[in-house]
Amino acid sequence: MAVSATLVAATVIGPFTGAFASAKGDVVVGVLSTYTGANAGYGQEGMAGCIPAMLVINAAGGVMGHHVTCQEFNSNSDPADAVPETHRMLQLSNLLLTLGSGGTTAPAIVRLANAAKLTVFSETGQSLFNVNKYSYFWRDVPVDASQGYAMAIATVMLGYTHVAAVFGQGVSSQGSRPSFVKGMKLLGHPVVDTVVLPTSAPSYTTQIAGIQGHSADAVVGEVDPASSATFFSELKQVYGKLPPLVGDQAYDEGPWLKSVGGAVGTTLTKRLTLVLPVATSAGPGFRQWKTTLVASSDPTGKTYVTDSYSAADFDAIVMTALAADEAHSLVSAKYNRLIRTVTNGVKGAVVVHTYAQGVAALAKHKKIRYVGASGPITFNKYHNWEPGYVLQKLTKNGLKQGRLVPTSVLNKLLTGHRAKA
Amino acid sequence: MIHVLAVSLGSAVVVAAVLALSTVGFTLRYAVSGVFDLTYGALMGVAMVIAFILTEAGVSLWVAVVVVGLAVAVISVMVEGLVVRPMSARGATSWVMMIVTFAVGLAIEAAVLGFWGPSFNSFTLVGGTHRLGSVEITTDQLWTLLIAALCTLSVGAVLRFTQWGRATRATATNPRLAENCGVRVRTIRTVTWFASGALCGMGGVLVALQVGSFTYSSWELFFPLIIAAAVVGGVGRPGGAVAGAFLIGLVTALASAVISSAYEDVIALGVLVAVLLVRPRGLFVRTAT
Repeated sequence: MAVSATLVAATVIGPFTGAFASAKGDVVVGVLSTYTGANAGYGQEGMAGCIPAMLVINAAGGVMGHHVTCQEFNSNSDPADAVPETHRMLQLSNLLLTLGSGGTTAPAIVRLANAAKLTVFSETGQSLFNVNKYSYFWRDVPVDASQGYAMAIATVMLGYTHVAAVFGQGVSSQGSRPSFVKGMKLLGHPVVDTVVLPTSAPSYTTQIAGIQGHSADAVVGEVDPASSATFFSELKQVYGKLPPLVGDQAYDEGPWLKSVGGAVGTTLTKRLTLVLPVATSAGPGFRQWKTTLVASSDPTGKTYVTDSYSAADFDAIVMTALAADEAHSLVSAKYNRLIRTVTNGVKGAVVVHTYAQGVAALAKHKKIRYVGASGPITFNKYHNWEPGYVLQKLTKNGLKQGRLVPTSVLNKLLTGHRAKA
Repeated sequence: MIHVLAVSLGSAVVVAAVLALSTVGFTLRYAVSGVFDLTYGALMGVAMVIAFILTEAGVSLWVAVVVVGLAVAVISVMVEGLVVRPMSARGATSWVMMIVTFAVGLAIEAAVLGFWGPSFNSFTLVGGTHRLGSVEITTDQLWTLLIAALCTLSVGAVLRFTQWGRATRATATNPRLAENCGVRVRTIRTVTWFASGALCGMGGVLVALQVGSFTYSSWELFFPLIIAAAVVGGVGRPGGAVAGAFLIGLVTALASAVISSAYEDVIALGVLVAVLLVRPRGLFVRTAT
């Protein structure tokens, strides 16, 4: 049986806070996400990053002796709820950072957090932040537009040339839809049908009949978990079997896999190809996150072991903690600017894969480059990350990496030029 | 286009059948109590959760449907006995009752979230698909249709042909007069809440089957349509509820096939407004002139 994020946190925090009792006050990671309603799984997703980060940091002695705790704040995927909840969170004097602000809530949360000089790691892919002016804003997930182009290249690489673009109404889905459609056109294979699914309708057979009428050979896109469950189960029903699917990071999220996997069965893993940022999913940073997550959670938590957003949240906390260690300060104005330094690295920096390695290196007065669960991250001057992409398949043991999406082709599409995949 | 229409209609009939079953339960409550009960949706969520827990424990979904129906029926009677009846006795207006049931519904939903969590889960009744012309339909959908039709027709038959049914209709029409004629109005109300709770529970399970995967809040997909169908048919009219459900379901499906699926909700509510403009109290309620 599943339990709520609150219970997961309580289960894990309970036994560990005593064992790691801090002489100094704790520092708090505000996981400002959605814990109620149809998107309630996103809160658990954030906790699946925060809880393991809390455990590994505290096991290494905390941030300069201050132990980390994860605290939930419910944005409810709605700015009307997110704004008062952000104010409530900002009442805390011991916040280290906040994470979780997604598509609909990010603009409001980021503005408030930045004004309060609180480091904020956002999960939005909105182009609004591509030329970001907020110094406390960081994004260690891909930009929607480049994600859409990467999906287009991957689709053609897989040999699908008559595809239906199926996207939800969410901000992120609508962010990657135009670039995917444009990308397919620039690659010489315009999509045969573009469908925007109304959120959480009781049935999508009308849209599916349209896709079938266009003889689409694959379905590519990004749709929320609840709508996806209904859509893909009906798609399987109409087609007789599930057609090939191509998706982005939204489709390796725990809530999505649980929702759609439950609706269509094990065939999902065979038919789905994911286009994800290049990550060292076999690297030591990823292994530490995964093993800590599995050890620290009930079966519900384990559904997040392939979730790149959870991995990104884990990294965000470790990066910020290491930046604070490097700054020898818990004053955000001092450690926030060092996040880029410990992540991108500087000349002569030692590569570290875990928080403990980072603390040990910093203690020896060495410069570090943190390469964690998401692999190497390089922030640009706007605090955005421009990753490379790779095709991945889901397996029983997690993600299996396939071919890389050629960066040269991606760059051509990003600049509006025709290309061949 | 014909294929699209056929597929849309096939699906719409299943959705409308589930909608009809749920709407009949919803409207029965209003008929005998005058309460626009907003706990109804949350109780559908409770039904989904109980059904899932039972199936995870190895209980057949067929048995689970019956157990869930009984469980939600009992909870409904508790809501009626502990909240609705005492407040009505104190003279609470229908608006107050609506707000109170809304609050109780939120509390029920929060309790389900706390107990069960926000995760997605799923179950199937039988599995398998059949082809009817150009339309693929699952065995689960066929059973859904059958269960919904049987339950809805049974309610209609009970209301039409039995002593209980006559007493229920009398209570719905004029409770004071019914009481003076020897009808035990209080008992009728309790039994009706029990029966509508059973329909609510079964409706919840059928909604979960229809959407593929569900969370504790998946009932929110259907509840606006249930209200729309009830209002279109004339709140308190079980026959009207069935007609309203099919009208909303079919018109929405046809319009989304011909116009655009992006406007499904707009179309459903447009039907509601159009009907109310002509028949302000619903299709099957005569307006005094």
